[in-house]
Amino acid sequence: MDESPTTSRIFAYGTLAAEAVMRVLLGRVPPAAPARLEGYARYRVRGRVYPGIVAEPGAHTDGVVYEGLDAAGLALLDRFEGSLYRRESLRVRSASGVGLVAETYVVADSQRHALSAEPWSLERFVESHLADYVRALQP
Amino acid sequence: VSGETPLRVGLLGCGRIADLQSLGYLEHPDACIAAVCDCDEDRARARARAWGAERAYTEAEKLFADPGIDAVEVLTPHHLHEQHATAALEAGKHVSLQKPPTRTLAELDRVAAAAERNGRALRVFENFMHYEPHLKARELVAAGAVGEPLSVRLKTAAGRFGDGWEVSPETQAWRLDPETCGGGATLFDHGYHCFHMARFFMPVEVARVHAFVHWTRLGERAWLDGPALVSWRYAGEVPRHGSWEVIASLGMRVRSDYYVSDDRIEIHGSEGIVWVNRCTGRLLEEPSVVLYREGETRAFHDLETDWADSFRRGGIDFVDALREGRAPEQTVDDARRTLALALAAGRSAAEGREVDLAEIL
Repeated sequence: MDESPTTSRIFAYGTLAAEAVMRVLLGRVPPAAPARLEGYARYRVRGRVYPGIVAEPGAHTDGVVYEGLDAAGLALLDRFEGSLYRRESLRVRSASGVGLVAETYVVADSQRHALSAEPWSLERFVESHLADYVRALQP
Repeated sequence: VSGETPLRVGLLGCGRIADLQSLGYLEHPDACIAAVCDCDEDRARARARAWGAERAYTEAEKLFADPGIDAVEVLTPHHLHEQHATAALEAGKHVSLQKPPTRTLAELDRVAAAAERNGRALRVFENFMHYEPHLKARELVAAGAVGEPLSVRLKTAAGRFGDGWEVSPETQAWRLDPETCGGGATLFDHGYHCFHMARFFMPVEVARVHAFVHWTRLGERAWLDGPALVSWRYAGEVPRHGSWEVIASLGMRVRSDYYVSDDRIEIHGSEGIVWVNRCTGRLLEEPSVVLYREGETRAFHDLETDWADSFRRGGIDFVDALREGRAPEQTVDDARRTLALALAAGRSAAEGREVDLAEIL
């Protein structure tokens, strides 16, 4: 929960919201807490098991805030997310209703065509795809 | 409310806690449960039969429109409290609102305004303040048995699921979803009790608070906010502090007839200590209240320790308050301060900093 500029808070709403994925990527799971992003909807990426979010009035996306990512960790996540997304600082709402600014991977405008119209569920991802997904991430 | 006819209470929400919330109204000679309401028709009918209520509704609006109801006990999920309490008050009913009264202070203020506008009583129900061992401990502290009270320490042990009350999956779902709960099931829901106890024994209010919370995901929208450690400093020149620790001992058996958790409290003063050794559960087979002073220990065995008794007393207090035209034990102003403390702890945990209550109030 360090507010200093050397660490970052991220809002994860897709595969990064699964602790097993974070553990493989970062070698640890940073302190996590539930959060909600208002004004964004989450859809599955066409032909993929992961989602993206786009601005959509009236929508909201539930996810997780991870605290205390260092610059190396954030750079690693930037590479992992790739060109499909752009990272933005967005205001999310904590479980206790507190507004927090968090780095969030939003589908880049030029990539919106990659999104399907199918809502994405973390629970379904964990049930059906997480094990294979984590296996594929391991070196 | 006159004393000529019984106070006719309508219970809105017939979930788990209604079993205890009904006790005071069933026992009080000047009250009766005239109607119940629950979205589950079978449950509403079953409760109506059990409590002798003449009417069972499945829509809250019908309960509010019932001219044979004087007061409504609101026992619905937290995100519905403002809507239900306000509608009941606008319909001319007195309202008893289960803790935590609302998710935010703004919601509570709107409910209070509805009570004021309609000239009806609004009380927030918190049962720990009616628990006899807590009342005894407060009496001892107020009488100077520990000298100047300097510290309040609370400890909650959450135990293994399945050993106590059976709680329906629907109830678990809304309580574990921060959106419908209003925060975490530990820090906000159960926390309301503990934060009220933080204020209950002390002659001054809490001024600053800090919280560490570990969140555990139990499902896509289900989170448990524990273990947790909250500490605070009281206002005033005398340095007084308090703390509340929640242990997620989910493999431990906690003997309980109700929720599988128990709470212990230690009030430490300049000349002695009072311990309250139990509350919701029966974790320790120790005297419920113990006083240490001048090298001697005194145990109090003759107190009602059944957690359900605190609900019974709370129900009776509400009826008596309406009959006598006095304020109930927990007024809106009092509830507002406890809610602010719970919200301050949530903010502290989210932002990772100490929070001044003045930021919240």
